[in-house]
Amino acid sequence: MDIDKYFYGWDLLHKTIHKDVNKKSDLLMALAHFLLTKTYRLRCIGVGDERAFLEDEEGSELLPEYWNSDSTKYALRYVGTKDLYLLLGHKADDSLVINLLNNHTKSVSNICMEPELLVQELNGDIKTIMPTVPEIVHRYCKELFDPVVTGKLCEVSTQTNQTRRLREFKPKSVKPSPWF
Amino acid sequence: MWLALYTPPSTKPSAPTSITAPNIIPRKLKILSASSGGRVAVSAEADPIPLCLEYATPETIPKHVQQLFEHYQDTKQSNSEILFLLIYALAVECGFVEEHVYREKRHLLKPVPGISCFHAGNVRIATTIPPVYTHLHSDTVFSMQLRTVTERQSAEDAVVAVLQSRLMVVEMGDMLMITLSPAPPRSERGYSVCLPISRYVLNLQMKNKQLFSRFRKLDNLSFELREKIFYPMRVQQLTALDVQLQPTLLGLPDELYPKILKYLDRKQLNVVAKVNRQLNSFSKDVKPK
Repeated sequence: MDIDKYFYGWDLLHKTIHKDVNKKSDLLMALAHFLLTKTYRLRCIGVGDERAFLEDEEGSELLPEYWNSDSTKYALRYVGTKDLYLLLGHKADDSLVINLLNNHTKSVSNICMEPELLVQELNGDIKTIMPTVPEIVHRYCKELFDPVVTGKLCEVSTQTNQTRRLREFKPKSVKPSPWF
Repeated sequence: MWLALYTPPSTKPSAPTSITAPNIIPRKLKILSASSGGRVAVSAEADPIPLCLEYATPETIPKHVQQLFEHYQDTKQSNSEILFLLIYALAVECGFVEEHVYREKRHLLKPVPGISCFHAGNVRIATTIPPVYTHLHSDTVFSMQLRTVTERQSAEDAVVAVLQSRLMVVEMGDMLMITLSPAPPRSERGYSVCLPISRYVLNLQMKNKQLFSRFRKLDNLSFELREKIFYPMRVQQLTALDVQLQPTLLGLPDELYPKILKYLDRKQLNVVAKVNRQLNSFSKDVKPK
């Protein structure tokens, strides 16, 4: 994964929020927001967990005001092509449980992260803030975003090209026979 | 015509009802008429007290659920908190126990083999003391730590870390979002589902009637939570510990293999040895007939 290319735009987002960021879990939520707006092309329409929304609400790539004002709970609303998504974060002891809910289908995904372990610094470039960011992004895409955001595939691949030879198991005594 | 007469399980808590899915409810069958065509008409008298929440009705509720709600008789609870406690009762039926309850009652809980999860005795013991859970955000978020009960009650940190999980329930208007995540720093996936509150806990103001008369569609609740949350998490945890999940020839205690294989002659032992590494090593220790 080419970090510089993939994270183009992160520094700009971080500059808009670095005055508000006061804890490590804020950065994990900001990373989730960045991925949703960049890779999955959703737009943020505000804070809160109301499930009613007007279809003509225009969203933004920026994080709204007071997005991290609550110390233990995050609630952000996103709009895709006419679908409302809720990104919710709850802190429990040392971990942050993030849920993504598709309001139309009621399907929900979850991920549990440890901010203390994954986030090193509050300021700096992405590699300084989260040294293991490719793994974090991979987990976000696989566990949180892909199951819920329908039809949208994660364009990132953290693995180098590997050619795998799949050996098909064929018992020696059985000859393949046609189906009809 | 084969007709099975079931007898209800003994009421001793120590008798484990180790069934893979407690939907095989024992019922007394009463033969009404038997025709020569081989058809038998039967009527089933439902058990007075169901074994698990799936079979509860507004009039009858399993003993362990009754016991659980008795701890909260004097406090007024919201519908979402009541549903949260029902979800905990289901978790207990699936082999999960709240962490503090587990530490208090560890010496009384019986081992639960990997092929099943419901142990009637454990379920009753686990609900004798109230679970510890946190309310946040004016009772819209409930969180508790769970421990899975398995056949090996090991105190090793690595094993304990695999068997711990966090149940978090968030109220969002009329919906409840239920998430079960493995305890960090494990990076395996968690399981979550969204359910409407009013489908299961009605808002009836019924004086002189028990709380349980407000419950509806508990079989559906049981199905949703078992299939989407508790069974997958239990399977994930047991797989990580290499516990046998299916009854199989390979899951027997090690000392039984010599006793079984000693009846085979050399040719048959060779066949067994070719099956897999485990049977290969067992067959080498045995002297053929």
